Parts: sequence; C-alpha cells; structure tokens
Amino acid sequence: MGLALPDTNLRSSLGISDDYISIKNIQLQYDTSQDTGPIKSNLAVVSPEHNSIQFLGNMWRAWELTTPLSPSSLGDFIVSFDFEVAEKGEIHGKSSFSDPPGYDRPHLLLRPVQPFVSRKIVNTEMQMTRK
Amino acid sequence: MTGLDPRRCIAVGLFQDLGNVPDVFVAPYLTPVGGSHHYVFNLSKMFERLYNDLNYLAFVSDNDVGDKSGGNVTFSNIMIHTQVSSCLKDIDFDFNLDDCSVDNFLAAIGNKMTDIGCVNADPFMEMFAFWDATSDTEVTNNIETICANAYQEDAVDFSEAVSLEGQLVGEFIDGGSAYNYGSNQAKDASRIKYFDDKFASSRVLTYPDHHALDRCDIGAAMCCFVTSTGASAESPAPSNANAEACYTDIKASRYSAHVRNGYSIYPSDGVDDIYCEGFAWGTDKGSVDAGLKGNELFKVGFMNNFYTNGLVEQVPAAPMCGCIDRMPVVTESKCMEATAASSSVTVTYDSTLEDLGARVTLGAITYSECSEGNLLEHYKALAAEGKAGAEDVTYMESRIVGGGNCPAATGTFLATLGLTFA
Repeated sequence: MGLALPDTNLRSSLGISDDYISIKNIQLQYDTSQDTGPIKSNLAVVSPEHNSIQFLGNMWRAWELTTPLSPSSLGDFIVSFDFEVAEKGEIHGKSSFSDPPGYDRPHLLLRPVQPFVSRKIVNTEMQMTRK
Repeated sequence: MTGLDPRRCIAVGLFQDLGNVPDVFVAPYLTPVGGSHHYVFNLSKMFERLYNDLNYLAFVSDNDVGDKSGGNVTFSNIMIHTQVSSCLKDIDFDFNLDDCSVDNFLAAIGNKMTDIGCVNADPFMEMFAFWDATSDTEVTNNIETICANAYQEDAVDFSEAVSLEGQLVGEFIDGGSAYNYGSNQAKDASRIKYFDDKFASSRVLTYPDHHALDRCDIGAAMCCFVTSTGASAESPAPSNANAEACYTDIKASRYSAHVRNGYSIYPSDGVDDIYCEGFAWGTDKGSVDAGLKGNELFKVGFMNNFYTNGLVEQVPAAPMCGCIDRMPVVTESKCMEATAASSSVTVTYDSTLEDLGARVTLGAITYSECSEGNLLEHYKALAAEGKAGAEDVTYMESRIVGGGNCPAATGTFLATLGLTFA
C-alpha cells in the first residue's frame, strides 16, 4: 500500500482533504474451512475501476495495509462505504483490526475455525479514498 | 485486553439469527436483499480496542449453507475520514424546502456549504460532524425527525376528535366498534363529517398510534373492507369490490387478530369480493408525503369509504386498515393521494442555542385518486423518484399480486411453512 500524501497531511487542521490509499489485492484467507476450494479460484472480485469488491459465496478476506493507520493519532477514525446485497448469505460485515488474521479470532469469527492460512494471490491494486 | 469491549466487526447484512453474539456490532440499518446502503461509522466511538495501529482491513461474507456458494454482496467506495469537523456548527443559517426530504435537506446543506466556502464538500459528512454522530442512521434519523416534527407541530388528532370514546378509532382500525357494528352509523359517525369539513383540507392530521399502523417501514398502508352497510346477507360483497383476498398471515396481524399465529387461505375464483384502497409515502419519514399520511388514512379509512360509501368490516384476522405487511395479500388496491402543493418548510439554525429546527407553512391539502391507477403502480412511481428502494417495490409486488396470481402467492407463502399448496 502506498499513501498518496504524507501522513502529516492527513492530520491537517483544515479538516478534510482527499487522497487515495492503494492496497495490493493480496487476499488473506482466515481459515481453510471457510472455502470450498483453493482460494486462488475463489477470489473476491475487485472492479476494473478499483473501487469495489464483490463477494460471491462464503468468503472471509483481509487485506494488509502496508503502512499501518494509527486511529489514536489521526483523531476521528470514520469509515464509510456503500454496500449492496444482490443475493443474501448469512452474515456480511466489515472490520478493521490490528492483529494478524486468526490471531484474535473471536473478534472476527463467529464459530470455531481451523488455524489461519494466508496466501498471496494476485497483485492487482485496489483503491480506497481517504478523506 | 480483559475488560474492554472486544467487538471490532460490524454486520451490515444479516440473514441469520445470531442469538446473543457479543463480538459483532449489528448496524442500526441492515441492508435487505436487492437493496443498497451508504454506511458511515465512527469507529473511534464504537471500538474500545481501537488504540493500536490498524494493519488490516477485512470483510466477511459468511454463508455455510449447502455448498457455501450462496451470497453476492459488494462493498464499494470505501473511505476513511479523519479530523472531521463541522463547517456550519458556529454559523446561523436557514433555507426553504418544498419538501423536507433527507435528499432535499442535504442538498440545501450542500448549497450552504458552497456559499460559505467549506473545505468539505460532502453534506452528509458535514451533518455527521455537526451532530458528532456514531453512524449514518443518526444523520438520517435526525433529519427525518426535524422534518416530521415540523409537519406534526400544528397537527390535529382525529382519533381523539371524532368520538368521546378514546378507543373507538383504534377499535375501528381493527375492524370493530360501533362504526362497524352499530345500528345507527349516521349518528355514531357524525363527527367524521364535521372533522372532514373543518380540518381535512387545511391541517395535517395525526397518524394514529396503533399497532396496525406503526413501524410502517416500507411506507405504504391499505384498508380492505369486506361488506357494506347496505349489503344483503346473500350478497355481502361491496358493490365496488375490486380485489380478492389471497391469504392472511395472522402472525403479522396478531395484535388485531388476538391470535398469536396461523394463516387464512382463500380459494381463488376470479371474483372480486372485497374492496381495498391504500396510500403510500415511501421510506423517507420526513417528507411531505409522510407528513400527510394521517390525512390519507382519514380519507381512505374513515371519510370516503366508511362514512360516504358505507363500507365496513375487515378481512378476518387482519386489521381493517394497516401497514401493508399486516394486511392480507390481495390482488388489487385502489390508491388515494394527498398533496399540499403550495406548502414549504423553513429550516433554521441558531448557532448560539445550537438549535436546528423546521416549521411548515401549509398550503391547501387536496385529495385525488393516484394518477398511476392503483397502489402498486403508485408505489413504483415513488420508487422511481427515489422515495423507495427496488427491494421495497419487490415486497409490494408480493403483497398486491394482481388478478389471477393468488394461487402462486399463496403457494409461495405456504412453502415458507414447509407446506405445499394443492
């Protein structure tokens, strides 16, 4: 991930300024029981515009931020996103966390799972906007 | 870590009973199938354990049913906002709206922000900061409350005014009372005509606080009558019958039925034998359409169909008037619309008092049959204007199913109970 602006700009007292955070689309898998096959054949789909992620079927995915974000020093830490349900699963949610996936599972997982396995899959970039 | 709230995951789409699961925040608004929603969460206020660096962004789409292939959801336009502060908080301002909907309100806020030269250009985030909100629903709820209060400020409560017996209107809505079964309805209901003449065209009428009418999230209601005061025992149907009842899910109307659960199924013979008429305002609780829903209920349920046309009695186990989800599934429903074309709403903010409020200047209220011809088409028109979602239209289509479609609708309902409609 690369920050388009220095971190100090994000803390500007001017209030809100736009920039982008690009995250390498390296999808981390929580545990093998959440997938019915190899993760590389069952990736969450990043749109060509790099601004959306589509989840088809049972998927638990994390993306690592190359540069960690520090909510305590950034002041407010507010996330916004659009969410669309074309077909329901059971539970759909969003999380941000500090520990490696699987390290602190009760905070993200809802039932007992096998140990975490992560794999690097592709290198397409996904973009978030930071305001 | 002990003692801190461990939750760091927010469920925004939930189609499974979690029971008492302590490790997930459930969003105040859950997106339904076919729907979409713009979420904003202040994680600083939600996650007690948000003090370490964040190293990961994670999304969960959980579906363990069958081959796990079910589920198709999309997260997009993901943004992180830091150092959010309100631009308008310390400035007095005001603006006028024809309709105090959330969209119109935010558009006017956006114009104010442009006039003042705010750095932030997003009116939703401006109001999020203005109210120091935790989630997006606080912003929309606050706007809707400000607008709805404006319409209700000078409203007249017809449920208290049409009778000295305070429970009469509520009982009538459930299909009972002297209105339905009295021997002298002209006398019993005389105050309805008086109230109509005096207030219906000039005042907002309060939407009754009633179990059949509350939590009307889809923003549509309907009255169905099964007979008329002049009908014979041999031919009880209203002369202007326009619908067939398909089935009633008594669980949904249990407070009207006084029966906890069950269902009624009606054979479909293609003959209309009840009369249904409804009204709709959509999902914005602060819009003028929502503000006038009490007027529409009064006209549809009381003045026009009961007092003028003599229609009475409810479909068994359902209320006579209620939100669409508590009414029987029917083939058709006529539609009534109230409008107050020359009305306006003035929104004013006093920065010294930090008081943001609104007042309505109400024009003449007029009533007409919906131009779309029936309730379902009217609701679709509201959705086309952004006043309801596609998923809401789908739901309405499952409740007002069209002529000849009762067997399919009933079969679908019975399938949810594990039964087959033969």
